[in-house]
Amino acid sequence: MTPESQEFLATFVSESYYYWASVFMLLIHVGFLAYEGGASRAKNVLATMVKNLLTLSIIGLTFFFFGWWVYNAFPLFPLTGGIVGPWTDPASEGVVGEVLGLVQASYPWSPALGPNIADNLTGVFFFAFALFAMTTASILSGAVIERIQVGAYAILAVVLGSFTWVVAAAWGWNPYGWFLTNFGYHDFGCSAVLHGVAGFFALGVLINLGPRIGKFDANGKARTIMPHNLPLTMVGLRLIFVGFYAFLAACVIFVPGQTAEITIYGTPMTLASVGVNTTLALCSGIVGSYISSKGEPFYTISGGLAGIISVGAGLDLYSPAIIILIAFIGAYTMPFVGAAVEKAGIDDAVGAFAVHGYCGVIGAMAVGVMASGYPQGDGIPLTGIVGQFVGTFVCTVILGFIPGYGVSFVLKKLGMLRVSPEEEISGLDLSEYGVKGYPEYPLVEESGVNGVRSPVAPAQEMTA
Amino acid sequence: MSSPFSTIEEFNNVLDGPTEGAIYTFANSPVINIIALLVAVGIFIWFMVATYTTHADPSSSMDQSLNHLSTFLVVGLLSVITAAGSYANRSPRAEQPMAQHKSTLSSGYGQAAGKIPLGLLGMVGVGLPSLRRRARRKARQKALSNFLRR
Repeated sequence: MTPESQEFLATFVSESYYYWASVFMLLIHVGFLAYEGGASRAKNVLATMVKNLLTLSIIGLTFFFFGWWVYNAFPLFPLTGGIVGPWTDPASEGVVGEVLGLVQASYPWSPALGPNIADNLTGVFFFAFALFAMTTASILSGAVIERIQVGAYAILAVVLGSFTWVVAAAWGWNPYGWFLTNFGYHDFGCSAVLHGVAGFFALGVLINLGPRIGKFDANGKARTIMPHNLPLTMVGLRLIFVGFYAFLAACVIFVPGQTAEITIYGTPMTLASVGVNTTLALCSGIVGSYISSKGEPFYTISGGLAGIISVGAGLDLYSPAIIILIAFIGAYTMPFVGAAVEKAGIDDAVGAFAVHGYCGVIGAMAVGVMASGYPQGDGIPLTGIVGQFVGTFVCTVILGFIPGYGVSFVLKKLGMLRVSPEEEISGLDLSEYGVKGYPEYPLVEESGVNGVRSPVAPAQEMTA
Repeated sequence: MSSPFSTIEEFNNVLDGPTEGAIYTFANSPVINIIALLVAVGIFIWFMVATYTTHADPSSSMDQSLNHLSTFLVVGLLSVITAAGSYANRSPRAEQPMAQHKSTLSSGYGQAAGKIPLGLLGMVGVGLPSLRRRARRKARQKALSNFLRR
């Protein structure tokens, strides 16, 4: 084998690795589709699934238009430099010069993003990041089902998936990001950078969106609106688990010329540890939420995800035994957060805040306690509680809750946030698409528990 | 500190270091990970027991289970680990010559003293369920004796 072919082989391995990891990440979206569709009521199943499907298009295109550039352009802003773009001096040197090289490859008109045999990797990294962005927006998608206008969701998804989350990633999941360089922030699996941002963004939206009709009685007491297809929800979450293995594998950095696998922060790690630790976190999370929710199926299955997110930030550093404990704590406490959110009058249909927002915070802050003191480069502070707190606070509050609340507030004032009560009662499938999700089964009739609509078995139709 | 490294050079050259490639938390203090493993096994046994006692009960909300003393068990054991971890990371300093590092040593003892409440919390957490069992046993014995008197 010639040196040229060896060099190309290294490039091909790297290119293939991210390509296939990203393909498997699509299973997260298959899972979200099934999860949300199953969690909705039968009268809303089509609208819920189509809205979820649109997430791919909305984010895929906007991430190409400006999201990929935001990721590369924002790491220095505002603490260590400005936003890097076409206005930056092309002769810049040092860190700005290095960032500028990446920025120039991220413009939608960049030759690096088209078929180009001189650059095999920029495109595949774009692919992986676009999938990350879609995942972020999908978290919001589940929380707001059965009452949000598709247009409002599209706007919110763009803000979250192609901007605020991407800014968080530029600051906290980037070798040039100021979370790292100034505070020693470490978030390997994007606990706060992705899940924390999305969970808190969803919380801000839910406050303005309001609960589904019938969710709370006149005294404000919550009623259970059961998923119309809990088995589908469970299958969906299992698919999300599969996709998460790929998501976390895609967080490993291996490019030609390296002699070891590293994190985005440049610290050594192994892909094997992702396999071991993700598996243990998944198992421990399910156990934790099973015990604390007393075997409630919805929370139990969500516990696997809660466990993984609770350890995501330090997945590359924790010992397996520590993983089990942290995942257990995160998932054990998650159902109580879900119950508290509901008690506060907020209708989070899929527990997005509890699973992603709360566990995202747990995950990022746990690094400050259980993986403190790790060096990440010369002149960079050691990992610790202060650095983790700064990053987590900025992600969840500044880039999550405030934009979510603010944009949804404006949409609400403009009457563009929520469907009309008539549409909501008749079901979004009929009002938006004119067809039912289950046309051969006239399932949905008003059945009598306190005015809550629930599926009615088609037995009478069948026997008639 | 849970990191086995203090500089990026040590981290990058971990194959040549004392942990021989291991980069995980407490790799330089295996006892911490062993304790954590024992706790993890304890949690699993708790789960196995819970599968027999977990039944659908719409009348009891999840909030009530927060009061269960098993919560204290978990919190307690974890705080024991945290306190033990702090102690284990402090011990290498104590092995240094006292004359040269008197001030460091005394501040180390100060830190250890600060961890004592955490450790105590852990021990209390571990002990609470047994106290509860004792109370239950007493209650059962009392009920039995009352029954026999009739």
